[in-house]
This record gives sequence, structure tokens and C-alpha cells, in this order.
Amino acid sequence: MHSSEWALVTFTILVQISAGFYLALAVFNKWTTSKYDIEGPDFLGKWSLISVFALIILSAIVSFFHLGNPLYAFYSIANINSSWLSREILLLIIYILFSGIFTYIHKKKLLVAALRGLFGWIVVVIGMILIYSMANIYMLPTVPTWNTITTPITFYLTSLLLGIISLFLTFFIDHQRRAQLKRDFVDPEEILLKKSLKLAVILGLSVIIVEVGMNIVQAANHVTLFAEQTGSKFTGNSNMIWFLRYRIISGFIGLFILIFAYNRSAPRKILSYRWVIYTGLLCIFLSQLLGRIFFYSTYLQGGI
Amino acid sequence: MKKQYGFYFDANSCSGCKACQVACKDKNDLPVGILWRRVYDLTGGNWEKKGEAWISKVVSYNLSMSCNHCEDPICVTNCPTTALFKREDGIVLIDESKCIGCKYCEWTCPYGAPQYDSENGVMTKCDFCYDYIEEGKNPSCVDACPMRALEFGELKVLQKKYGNQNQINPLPSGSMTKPAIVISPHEKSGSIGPLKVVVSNREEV
Repeated sequence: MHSSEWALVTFTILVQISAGFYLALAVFNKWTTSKYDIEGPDFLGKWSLISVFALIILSAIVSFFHLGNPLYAFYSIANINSSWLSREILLLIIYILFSGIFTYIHKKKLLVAALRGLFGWIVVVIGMILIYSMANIYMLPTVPTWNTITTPITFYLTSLLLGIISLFLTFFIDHQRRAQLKRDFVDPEEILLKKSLKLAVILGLSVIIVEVGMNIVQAANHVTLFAEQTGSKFTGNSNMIWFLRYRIISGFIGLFILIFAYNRSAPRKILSYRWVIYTGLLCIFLSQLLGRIFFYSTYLQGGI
Repeated sequence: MKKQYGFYFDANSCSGCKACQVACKDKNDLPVGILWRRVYDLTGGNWEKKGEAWISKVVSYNLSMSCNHCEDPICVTNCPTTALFKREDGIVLIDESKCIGCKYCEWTCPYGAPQYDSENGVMTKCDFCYDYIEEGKNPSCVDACPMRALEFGELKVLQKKYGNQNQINPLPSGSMTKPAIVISPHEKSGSIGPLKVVVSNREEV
């Protein structure tokens, strides 16, 4: 892959993680406020929202690296009438603004809790529209391997899975931090941790199975079109199969590790499996990263 | 749009000599790896057995293609900075002072026209030798062709003279971007039926 594509892989993954995190957080918040009268972000520690916002800023910075001439980047919102790329940049700016405000109002406890929750949902909507515009950039008639329904579906599935995983991760890290400081836990915390781990595993399994199915369709599409274009019997981009193979392997390894950790850890013992859990989460993240690289490797120009 | 300039290409006359490609490269001082005009070697078809004999249904011809300055340019539609724009005379140009080198037009164009200049970090493409046109001259590729396979002029005039065909195997359908080009297809290109031809000199273009 070219260096500029690494920038796009990183940018799309980071934005989708954050959008998925906000969605998971909004649902989590709804549940914790109704059941425990505690806001969702309060379970995650004071650095969680700041970390996610930092991730969004990092993604924006990384996106500059795929440009040949980043000095003129301010022109990139000049064509929102017709260009999905222009729309994506504008939506990214709005997303950064709103997620920054959301982070700030939670940090400073401004407005009432209900309004903070509502603002969170606004950030979710903007994030989801941003992913939609991102997918449309790739739905080009001249790139038939990308111009299928699998593109937006895999983008949203990545966002959903990595969002829930990052929510669980921030929760878990803060739980570990407070355990080390020997601070009192909030009563439902242990139960919530196990429940969210279970959700991450079930969702992970469903998402990975669906995504792998779609990836196989994408790979087959690439191979067919490559054969048509070149008259060759070979598969085209040989890296593509490598990424797909290790994407599947790392995804399932990650899931098995998390299932093992879930089954073996009783309440108040989950921290003793923390390195197992971190490894499992890392494998799933790696699987998604390889899946995104795989997506870019299926690029095949239609036409001449 | 007051007028639309276009190219005419005669696939029957083209010998694949690449004089047009070299003339373009020379006139525009293009660096290595950038080809504003590309000459494709296209091959297709097969041998068919008829009784005890094998009949050749192999086809091979050339296609000289630059930017088609499309009437509905998808590159202009998708360019985020409006660096790509279409003039009143139909010529599609790149304003390098706005180009951010995102390469989106490269993905978008079905004809491979936009080419990335890695040294300057911007996209470049055939500009129809608009400076020559404004002086009343022909584009350099047209004058360089020894076989007179290339012509340029107002699209309506070319269409009246040579017909409306703007797509030959393996180009995509002209309805996608309405390329301002008229092509006289190679006489053999229709003989291989629905089989696509392939570009056999991919490394050169």
C-alpha cells in the first residue's frame, strides 16, 4: 500500500471508533441513568471523553498526510454541492466542534444531565452521518470493487464493534485504576463490566462473521474484475488474500480469548484476567485494522 | 456552454507509434511516470476450431487517449476544492493553486486522465494545449501524428463528420461522463462479439 493509503486507513478507523464510542456511550448513558441514576461517562473516568476527543483530533491530523499539498486544505470544503469528499470534511469539522463541546460540558458538568445526554445523541447523529458521507466517497462507478453495499455496511459494523470495545476498554481501564488506588467501587460496576464484556463478545462474533462474509464477496469481485481486465487467471492483488486471512484469524483468536476471560473471571476477579482481556481486545482491533487495509487493497480501477 | 472542443481518434489509422505521447511529453515537459496522453495496445479474441482447422479471431489494435474533457466531467463534480473546473470552451483544467493532491479525481476518472505529480504534490492532466489553441494552432499530439489518426475541433463538427461514437471496447459507456471524443472503431473490434479486449501494455501506461 502507498503511504497515503496508510493515512486513510488510520483516519477512517479512528473516526469510526469515535463515532461508535459515542453511540455506545449514549445507549449506555440511557441505561445507567434510568437504572442507577448515574451518568454513563461517570463510570468511564474523567479521561475517557478527553481521550476519545483526542482520537478525533489525531484522525484529522493524520488525514493531512494523504494530501500532496496540505497547505491548501482549507479549500477542501469548497464543493459541498456535489463532492462527497467536501461534505465529509465539513462534517468532520462540525463533528470535532460538537464532540469538543460535549466533552467540555461533561467535564464541567454544565447544563442538566438530561440536556447533556441529548447533546450526546446529537454528536452520535453527526458521527453516523459522517460515516455515511465517508462511505459515499468510495461508492464510485469507476471503482466497481468499492461501489457495492458492502462498503457502507462494513464501515458501520466496524464503527459499532470498535465503539463498544472502546467503551468497555475505557470502563475497564478506569476500574483498574480505581482498584489500584483502593477507591470504593460503585456498586453496579462489576456487574456492568461483565455484562459489557459479554455484549462485546456477542457483538464481536456477529459482526466478524458478517464482515468476513462481505470481505469474501469483495475479494471474489476483485478477482473476477481483475481477470476480465487483464485476461489473467491470477488473483490480482496478492496482498489482499494475506490481509483477509489474518483478519479472520486475529478476529476469532480475539473472540476466543475474550470468551475464555469471561467464563473464567467471576465478579471481583475480572481484574486478574486483565492482560488476557487486553490481548483479546488488541486482536479484535487488529482484525478490524487488517479488514480496513484489505478494503483498500481491493481497489481496482474500472474503465481503462 | 458556448462550445465544446473535442478530439477525434481513428483506431483504423493508429499504428501505436506513440508519437502523440512523446509530443505531449515534450511540449509539457512532463516528468518520468506522468503521461497526459497514453497509447494502449488492446488485444482480445481467441482461436476457434472449425472442423479440422483453427480460425483466428484474435484482434489487436491501439487506442490513443488523453483527457476527454467530458461534457459531464465526474472529476469536476467530485473535486473537493474546485481545483478542477470546466471552461466555457469545454476544456477541463486543473488550478494547481487550489489542488491539495488528494488524488480523488484519479479514482474518479474512467479514462485515467488525472496523473499525480509527486514532486509538486498536485494533480496534472491534459490541458488540450489550450495555449496553442488560443494561437490558432493544433494540440501538439494532433500535429505529431504521422498517420493523421488524431484530429481536434468543435465536438459538434467532429460528430457531424465522423459520427457520434464515443466509446469502444474496453472503454466504459459514454453515458457515464459524456466524453468529448469521437472514435472510429477498429474494423475488427466488433468481430469478437461480447468478449472484452484487455490492455496488453499496462506497464507502459
